[in-house]
Amino acid sequence: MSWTNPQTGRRFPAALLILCGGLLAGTAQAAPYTPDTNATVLATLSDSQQALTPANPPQNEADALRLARTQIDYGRQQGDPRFLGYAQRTLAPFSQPPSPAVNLLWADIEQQRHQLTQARIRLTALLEQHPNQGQGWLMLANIERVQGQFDAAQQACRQGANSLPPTTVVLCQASVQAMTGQHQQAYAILQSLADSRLVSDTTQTVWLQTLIAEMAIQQGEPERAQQALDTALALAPQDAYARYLQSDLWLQEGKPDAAIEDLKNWQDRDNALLRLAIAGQRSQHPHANQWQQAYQQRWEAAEKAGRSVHQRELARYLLQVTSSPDEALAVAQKNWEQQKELADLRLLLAAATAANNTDVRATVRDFIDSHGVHDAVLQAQWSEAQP
Amino acid sequence: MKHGLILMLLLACAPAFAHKPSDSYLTLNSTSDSPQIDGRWDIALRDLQLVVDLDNNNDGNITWGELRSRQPELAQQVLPMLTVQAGQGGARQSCPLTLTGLQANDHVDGTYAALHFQGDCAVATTQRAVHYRFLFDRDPSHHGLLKANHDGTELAVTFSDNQRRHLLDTSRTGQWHAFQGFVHQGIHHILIGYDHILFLLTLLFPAVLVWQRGRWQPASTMRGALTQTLAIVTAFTVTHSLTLALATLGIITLPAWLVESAIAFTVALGAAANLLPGLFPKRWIMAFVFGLVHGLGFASVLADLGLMGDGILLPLLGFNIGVELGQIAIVLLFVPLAYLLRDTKLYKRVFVPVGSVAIMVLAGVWLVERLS
Repeated sequence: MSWTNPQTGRRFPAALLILCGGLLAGTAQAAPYTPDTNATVLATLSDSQQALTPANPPQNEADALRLARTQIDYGRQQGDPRFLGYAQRTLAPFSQPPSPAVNLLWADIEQQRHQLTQARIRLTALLEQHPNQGQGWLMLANIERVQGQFDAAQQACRQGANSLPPTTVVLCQASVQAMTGQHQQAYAILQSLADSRLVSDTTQTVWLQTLIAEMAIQQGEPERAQQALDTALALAPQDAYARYLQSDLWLQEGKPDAAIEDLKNWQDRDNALLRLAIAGQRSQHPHANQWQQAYQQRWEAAEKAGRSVHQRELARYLLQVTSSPDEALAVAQKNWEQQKELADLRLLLAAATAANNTDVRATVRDFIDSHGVHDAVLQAQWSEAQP
Repeated sequence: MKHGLILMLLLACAPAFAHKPSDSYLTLNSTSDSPQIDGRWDIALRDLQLVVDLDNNNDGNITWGELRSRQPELAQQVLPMLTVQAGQGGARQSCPLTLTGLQANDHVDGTYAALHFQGDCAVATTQRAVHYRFLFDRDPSHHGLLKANHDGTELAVTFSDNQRRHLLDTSRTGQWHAFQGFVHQGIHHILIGYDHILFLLTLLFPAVLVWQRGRWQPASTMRGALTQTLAIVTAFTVTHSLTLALATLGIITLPAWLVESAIAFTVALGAAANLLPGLFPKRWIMAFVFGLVHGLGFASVLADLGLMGDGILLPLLGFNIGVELGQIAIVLLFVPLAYLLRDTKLYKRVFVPVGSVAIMVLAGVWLVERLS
């Protein structure tokens, strides 16, 4: 059952509407209050927040680059978008016009805000003039890959070869090949790279092991994936990407409690909250509702503020938490226009199957066939849906 | 051990404050008959800390006492980041704002300082220019979300680094058109809402008659008939306006099938009362009580128009006026006619009893339909 808003023409599931109503009563009408005593603690400032927001911005470019880099990385790590704003401010005095190094950080900010088109334009212009910016090629390859331009992505990896370490180029290529008919080769190369000890730098090792974990899941080898994730997380226990991949693996294997245990201290991050809401519901955790409401409030606040909501996460929430297949499919399709990673494809297929939409299923089939995508998860989803 | 467990449970229950981009929430209230404006500005303590050092004792916590002690800085450094001007074009008057109070408020991502302020614009106007400059020099991705309310009309705008000024126009012509629209909706609804008309008519059938010695007698004076009519219409109006407002404001919510069935039931009962007048001597009481149910029915129309929640007062008033206008039209058509015919056998012996039975049967059918 759903309801169409006559003004916007948007459809909402009835259950969602009731839920929204309940929440609005609790949040939108939030009333100011006078705390009981002067000693009431209203907020706790984190040390990093203090350290990363100096009253006086750096006066020279080298310091500004250092600070902005730290701010962007911290924001990514914490899932806290305010730090992207702080980085913007740090870079502002050195941005007219920006040096290649400053420009790369701008592209990183845009990429994290999912302003992929802007980031691509910036990078293309930058690399035309400065083709030796290996980091730029890497970022461009990533954007092309995320948007499903696999040939362009591989091309970018190759063009970075002049200024990037060979192992980085291999990782770059493999991440793209994972989505194409070359996935078997890429998987084999990554495995031998892991055995060879050619990769010794921590960041690269974490990247390598995370890629292996993702491709092992694709191959239908969860034990191998777990092993790679263990290695990655032993080196970088706070790496957000690897932690979320780990929880998704647990969720896939029917171990929601493990995901809850791992993420329950990360409730201030959207991506963790989403997984807590999913895991909480599956394990009937006493806080399941609380997590769900928190996530719901979070994206409602974003919508109200006119900020873009990350479609992939929203679609997943609508599909797996509120069980609203039609709405989930609409968002998943919008997301598919922007992003074409494996996770997006799996979500699109799951939503299309749940909403019984054969047209979208055919689109998914076409994409799989034309690119030679091989994925155990998609296959399982596909055969489950067949009568 | 036991205490440790309780502490763990408490910690787990603490609200999850998700990170979100920096937004402040502003409300600005004004009316067309006063140059005074007032409002509230909720700013995240995290954001405020970037501009005013709130942590006096450097212990990493911001307490209510520390926030309060910074009230002068809030008034001198923060509030001036927001300026409001009244009027249009070159004839703009500034509205100096003063901090009138400070509270705390909890939002999705933590506690905010709630700054209450007032301003004096020298002139009362529907046009205001608002300039917002807060925090952009520290966080260019900051947004200020403003909700302006002028005589019940709401406008929402967002300030960002690239859009620091907004012109708010809640001019009367715009408002008046919208208001007229709602009056029309109200009239339209009562005229097509046959169950409401039928209920009103059943109550009014005997308004021109008096039940005496077991039979209907014509009301001897126009005055008597008018008094009865007025009492019934007023009672019905008072209570249906009340529930219309309560339902529209979301204070009462009942499922539609229940309201619709109850309305059918009131129509049937009203008709039954005409057949057994001895049992229901005071018709206005019936109008008064059943008006409560009909108001809930009217409210569903406003809800169908997508009107709920904030900014509803003006539409609500317009719609209600429309309903009353429609109702008066029905009364003006029916009562004089009934008054002229009141002494005829046709009216007393046929129209009232047969009409009432017919209405009762019809309402009974609705009731069954709506309940199934």
